[in-house]
Amino acid sequence: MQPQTCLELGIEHTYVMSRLKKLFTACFLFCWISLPGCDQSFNPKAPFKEKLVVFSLLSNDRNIQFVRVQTNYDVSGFDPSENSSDKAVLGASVIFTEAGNSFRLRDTLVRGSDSSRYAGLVHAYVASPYEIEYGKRYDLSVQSAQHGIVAGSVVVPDRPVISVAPGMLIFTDATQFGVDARFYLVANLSPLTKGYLGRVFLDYQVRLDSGWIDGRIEVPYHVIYDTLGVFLADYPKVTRAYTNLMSIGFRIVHYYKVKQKVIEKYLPHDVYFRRVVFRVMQLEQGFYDYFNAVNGFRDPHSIRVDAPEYSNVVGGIGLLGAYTLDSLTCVLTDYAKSSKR
Amino acid sequence: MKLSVHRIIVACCCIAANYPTAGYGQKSDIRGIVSDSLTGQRLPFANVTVVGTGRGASANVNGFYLIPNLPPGDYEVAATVMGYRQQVKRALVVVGRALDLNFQLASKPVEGKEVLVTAARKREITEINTSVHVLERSELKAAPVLTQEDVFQSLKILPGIISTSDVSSKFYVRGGAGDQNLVLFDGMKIYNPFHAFGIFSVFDPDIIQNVEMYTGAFPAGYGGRLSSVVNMTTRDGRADKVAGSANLNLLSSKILLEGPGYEGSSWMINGRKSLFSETFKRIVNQDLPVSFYDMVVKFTHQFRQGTKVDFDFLSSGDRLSFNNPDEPDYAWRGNTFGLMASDLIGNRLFVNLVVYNSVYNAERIAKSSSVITPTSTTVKEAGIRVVANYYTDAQDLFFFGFEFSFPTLQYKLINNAGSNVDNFGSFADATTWMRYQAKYDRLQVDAGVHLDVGSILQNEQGLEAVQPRLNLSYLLFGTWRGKLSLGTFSQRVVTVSNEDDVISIFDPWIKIPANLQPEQSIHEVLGLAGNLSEPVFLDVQAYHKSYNRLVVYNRDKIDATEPDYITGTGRSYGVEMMLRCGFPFADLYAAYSVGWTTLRNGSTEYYPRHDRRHHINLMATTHPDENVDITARWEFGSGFPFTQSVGFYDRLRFLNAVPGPFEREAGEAYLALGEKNAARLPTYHRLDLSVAYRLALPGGIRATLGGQLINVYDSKNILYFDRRTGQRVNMLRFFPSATLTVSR
Repeated sequence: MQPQTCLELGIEHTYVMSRLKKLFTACFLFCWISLPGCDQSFNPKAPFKEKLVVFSLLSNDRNIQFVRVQTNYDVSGFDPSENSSDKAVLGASVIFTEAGNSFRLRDTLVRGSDSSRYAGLVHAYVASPYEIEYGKRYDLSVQSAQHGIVAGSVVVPDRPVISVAPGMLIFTDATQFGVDARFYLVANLSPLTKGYLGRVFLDYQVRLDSGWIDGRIEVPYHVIYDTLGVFLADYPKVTRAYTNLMSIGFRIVHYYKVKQKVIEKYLPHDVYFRRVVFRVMQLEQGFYDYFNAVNGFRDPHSIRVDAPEYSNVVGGIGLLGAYTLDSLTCVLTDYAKSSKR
Repeated sequence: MKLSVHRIIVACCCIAANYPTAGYGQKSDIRGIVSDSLTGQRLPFANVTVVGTGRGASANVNGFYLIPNLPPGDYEVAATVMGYRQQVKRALVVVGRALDLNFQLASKPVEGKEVLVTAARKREITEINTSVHVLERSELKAAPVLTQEDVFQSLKILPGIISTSDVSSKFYVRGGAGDQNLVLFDGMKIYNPFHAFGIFSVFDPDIIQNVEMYTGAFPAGYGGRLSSVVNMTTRDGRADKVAGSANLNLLSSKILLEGPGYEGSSWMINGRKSLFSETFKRIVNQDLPVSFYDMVVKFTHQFRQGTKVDFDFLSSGDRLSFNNPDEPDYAWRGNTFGLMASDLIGNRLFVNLVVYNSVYNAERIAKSSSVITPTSTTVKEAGIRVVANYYTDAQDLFFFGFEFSFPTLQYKLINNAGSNVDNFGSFADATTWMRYQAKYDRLQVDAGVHLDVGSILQNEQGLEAVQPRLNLSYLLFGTWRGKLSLGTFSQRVVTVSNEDDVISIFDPWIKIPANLQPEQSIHEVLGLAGNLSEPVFLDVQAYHKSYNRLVVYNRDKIDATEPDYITGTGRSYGVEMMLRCGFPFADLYAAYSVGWTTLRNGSTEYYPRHDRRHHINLMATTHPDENVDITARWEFGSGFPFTQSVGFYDRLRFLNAVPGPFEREAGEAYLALGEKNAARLPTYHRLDLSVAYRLALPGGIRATLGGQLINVYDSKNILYFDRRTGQRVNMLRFFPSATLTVSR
């Protein structure tokens, strides 16, 4: 099928071209003048709303508890380092409540571990003395006249039952066990525990010329490399608790290896190995989830590159978490004295 | 598994060998090749008709046609194809012997209206599929583009295809993600066929014979991707003489050489190389020391009995090198080669065979950056693809085939936990298909089944691996056709770039994690197409696409025991309209699409980054002189979604708290984001003009001078903003460019 020509369509070609040129010119001028004005403004920021940012981590390993209370912030530009001051909220009412008993925290200042961002001391609220109890629920309320109220709650895990298999004899009377023997740090965890960390430490004392010093070394569960003075080992990490039973196996040879390391380190001084400490840390759900979420899921195989947000503070941002720290000690009756002088 | 695939191959061969040819004894076929009389290149889509009988056939992409079951007699057979003079030949058909009748057509000047209207009408009205666009080389070169013609830039004028930026050839089809487009280059799968910042794809229109672009509901034979198919066929080199052309523009230079080899052979070499990184700086308003190249080598040999064998080699590479030692460099390379053969086996079975191997590698080089980490992605794939079509007595077409390949995908990175990760996936990708095309009075049917055998054998899918495809077309009245297309599709490889990136320079490919089933979508398309008046063609389509399974972030992931990705869902729907008008003084083209796309991840529903509500493309081409083309193109797109930031807070990581005093931790500034993709970027609009002037120089040299005005009224279309610095980077500003092409 052939397209019709201009004449067939009843249109004179030159007339059409002339009109077309005029139309084109008019359109061009219109576009040139008017359309740049159509550029729309654009704001990458949503309206900023100040919120309370609360961080608190309760633990039973000390009788002092802290709550950090800050606000989020915006800067005139886009670089957060424009904000050069700690956005701590002062004068807030910060209260822990447990079984109807309230404890109001007071302002304090602590020395920051990193002064590169904010110079000076870090504001915090402190409860002292304040010991948390196993299995108890703690509610936190933070009220600020300018920023309103935020709240959170946490239930501290119950006390775990810690044991060592096959028993402490493996450390005190090694003759019964071969070099391939294993010992296990076993714990019955609280049902409230979502993550745990079981570690074994060897405490020792060294008599130097200047006097006694105390030392502690962790026993690895796997030695990757130990040659030419390079010692590379794997140590237990925070692990998710799927059941109430925790069992972490260690080879006794690694225990001996770290002992030997200490002896070699302090030669020709005497080293007295005082005790083996078996430590179990229980992380309740909020702390376990937050800790993983902000640290790349602590997943060595993850291919995700995003940085997700996690908060369990109602009305604000942050975390109210808790952990317990318990230990079992095996006192070493035969002090291991360096034989090399 | 190898045994099972072997059985499939054997079964297909058995079908091919034993397909019944009842009735063939009393009548005979006419068949042959349609080619260019001068260059010897085969001409696809030629119409071959038996004069006075109403019988005829269309040549396939290899220029082969077959008119079955003609009674004995003396006929006149005519072959026509756009841009060529019709050729008529006498044919004496005798009982029981197929007649080989080849056509060599002489070219004639192509009129613009013929390109834009006649050819399109021919294809779009007669094709059964709702969502297919077939663009030939002249059409690919018609759209005004930045400095140099490009296949993907030209495709983006089609309705339903959008790009998130001027400086990207990456495209999104009907709400689908950028990795859901299957790109075939002479039947070979190509991964990431884009140059730096995607300004060009790696495909030069000068080497392309035609492109089939399926924007949805594609027929059996195409699979492995959820949204679209770009099936490119390259042309052959000239078989009559050595010829060449060279092009110089502000961004790059290219050279094309082609010519005859020994008897029946031809060759073609095409290469492009970037020239001026300074121009890039002007385009994207950033210091981007970009360099790239691409090269295509093709050898063709046509045997006398009609067998055609091609060897293709496609190579491309890019490098982005920044002077700042804290800015990472990027480099990527792709090499693909393949051997293609096509022939008529027996009397009615036409077979295309492709054996290919491709390697794609990209890496980010961190240099001395303390923030950016090195990463790399590699995709290797070797495969074989066999497509056969059988011409039945009833003039129906029966297609079948299989594809078998072994993709291996590797993604290396240092993750957020600081670990070196080597994500490696390898699998057998085996598919087979059957498809039947028939015509019943006013109704045309294209029904088929695409079977993902590989996912069944690897227990990744069950019955979902059987993917029905259906296209119906009913002639309502005049030229108006109503169309319906349905199909299900699956995908086993995805890219895992951060979906919040505005420009994704680095797109790592992975095999879908083992805990998930392949992605799946269902397409439903309703269409209506016809001529409003003689020169005005309208095509309206409504589509609905359900994503029953998509790979999305596991937002609830807490630790290493939980998967990175989970299955999400989504859907997109919309309406597209395309209008083409061919007047003697101008060709007009208009496309409008309105669409909605949402993704669901658990309880969260959001618009993906490429969700564009309204999109308009207007294009007009006029030819004031036979050697002058003037083209204007205006594009409008409503704003893309993005996530606003809502300030910072100092986030503690508690790294010292296991155990230790957390209260002393300073924290790190964490950028808090608002609701995901809840805000919209400003709208996009841009007017481009281009002029091409052809002139003949002494010595048989032809030259084309081109001038382009990009973004004539200097619209400030936003490309992206950097949340860290607040820097807004706009897309192309007003940008004049010029090209010079000489050929002989």
